[in-house]
Amino acid sequence: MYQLLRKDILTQRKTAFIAPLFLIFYFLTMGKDVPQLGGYIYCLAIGFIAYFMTMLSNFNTNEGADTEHRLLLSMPASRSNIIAAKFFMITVWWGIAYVLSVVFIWVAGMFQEIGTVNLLSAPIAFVSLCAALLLASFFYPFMYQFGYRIASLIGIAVFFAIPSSIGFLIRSDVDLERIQFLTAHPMLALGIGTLLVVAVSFLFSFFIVNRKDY
Amino acid sequence: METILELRHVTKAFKDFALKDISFSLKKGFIMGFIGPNGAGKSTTIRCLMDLVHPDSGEVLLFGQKFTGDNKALKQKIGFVYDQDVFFQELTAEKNKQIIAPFYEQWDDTIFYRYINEFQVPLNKKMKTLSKGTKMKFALAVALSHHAELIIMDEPTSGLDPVFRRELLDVLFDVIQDENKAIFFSTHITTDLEKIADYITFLLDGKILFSKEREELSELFRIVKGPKSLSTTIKQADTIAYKETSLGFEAFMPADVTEKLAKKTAFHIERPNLEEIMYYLVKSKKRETAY
Repeated sequence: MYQLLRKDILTQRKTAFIAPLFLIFYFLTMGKDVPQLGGYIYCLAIGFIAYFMTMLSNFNTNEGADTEHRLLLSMPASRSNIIAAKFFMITVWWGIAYVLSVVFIWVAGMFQEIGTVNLLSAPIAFVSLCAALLLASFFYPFMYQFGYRIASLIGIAVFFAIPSSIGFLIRSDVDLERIQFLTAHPMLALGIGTLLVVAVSFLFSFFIVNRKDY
Repeated sequence: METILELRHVTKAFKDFALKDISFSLKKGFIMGFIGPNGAGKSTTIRCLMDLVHPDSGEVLLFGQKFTGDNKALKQKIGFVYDQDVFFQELTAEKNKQIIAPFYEQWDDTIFYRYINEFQVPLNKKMKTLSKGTKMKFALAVALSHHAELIIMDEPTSGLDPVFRRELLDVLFDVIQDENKAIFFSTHITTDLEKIADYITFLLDGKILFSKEREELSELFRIVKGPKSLSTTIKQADTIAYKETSLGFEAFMPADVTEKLAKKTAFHIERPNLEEIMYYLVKSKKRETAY
């Protein structure tokens, strides 16, 4: 398992580590336009950066997932380990994205006024981790089944669907009594929801890879 | 002697191709050559052996154990060489080694760098910039650097120049001096097998035509040559393949039939080499015949 995690880091494209720089500036600008979102705009930003890194780690060296699996499965690595490592790496990429974002924001703050942005908060960290896990969980089963092109399109569609859905939910006349649990314990609800989606995604991914011929 | 590799009635169907009832085995201390024309199913069989393809039925046993969901312990003992780029093309050969080596408990850097020097593989170059032959050399160095007991190779000699092909055969010959090891490799270059293979397994249209000792194989068939005037006689015999040439005819047939013929008429009879056996068997349409 450790070897698989190490492999993902060593084969990651360098652009994956530079991209957050550009993305975070984009989100900074966007954050100014939507001040009511406060620091939570950064949750989506960090989540997306982590997802971007996760996605890139799968076509890191121009090999398709199938070619890479052919190599890995010929070595001492099981199909279940390969999938488990990929899902574990989402958290690792989130950690890297989070640290990079904190550093970038801190450095950017020294040169220009960007308001009171404090990324070092548990809710921002938690929500951004959930965002990364949710996005990647939509990505993986599609990637294993249909390849990365279709999967990355779906991942991006999901990314835009999340804020749109939240906006729709806020604007709509949904009876808040019905979703009392969600409004009373948003973090817990998000955590449980994320866990469920990740579990389902993991099982689907494992099922697809386990029965696939390489 | 312990069986290191065994396939029992393995079948696998694809849309346009199928492996049908594949059975053969290889014991420790031996080299088996796996031959057959393009599209015969050699690579698919090797993918079954490596657990990359799930057979529809039948069993694959390595080191006496069936494949299960987790074959990590078995894979520790297998070295593999494929006929395609499976390594990380954007990374240097050295970086590829750094990724692969930790997977193997018995990885030996000394052996790896010895082979790399011997094969003259530039470690600082990206895999995508290396020639096919050099990539193959790198794959060989990897396969031989973790004390694997079974080396499985898919067309390892393709893309290699004759000098290195000869060197490779010497390396394989050295490896097989350890009687606990075995080598299984597919190739089109049958002359390589004539130098080192103990057993030959011939696959045609997804079916095993034979899996025999190389020495035994040379006793099985004969090429009969003669003038056109004798062609009627030969056609009446049990030929596997027959062709007319400008000088006369050439018939490929079972050795026991030629013995009977030779008593009657003065034919010119030759022992076929592996390439000729492969050529005539593919040419003939007697695919249902078991030898």
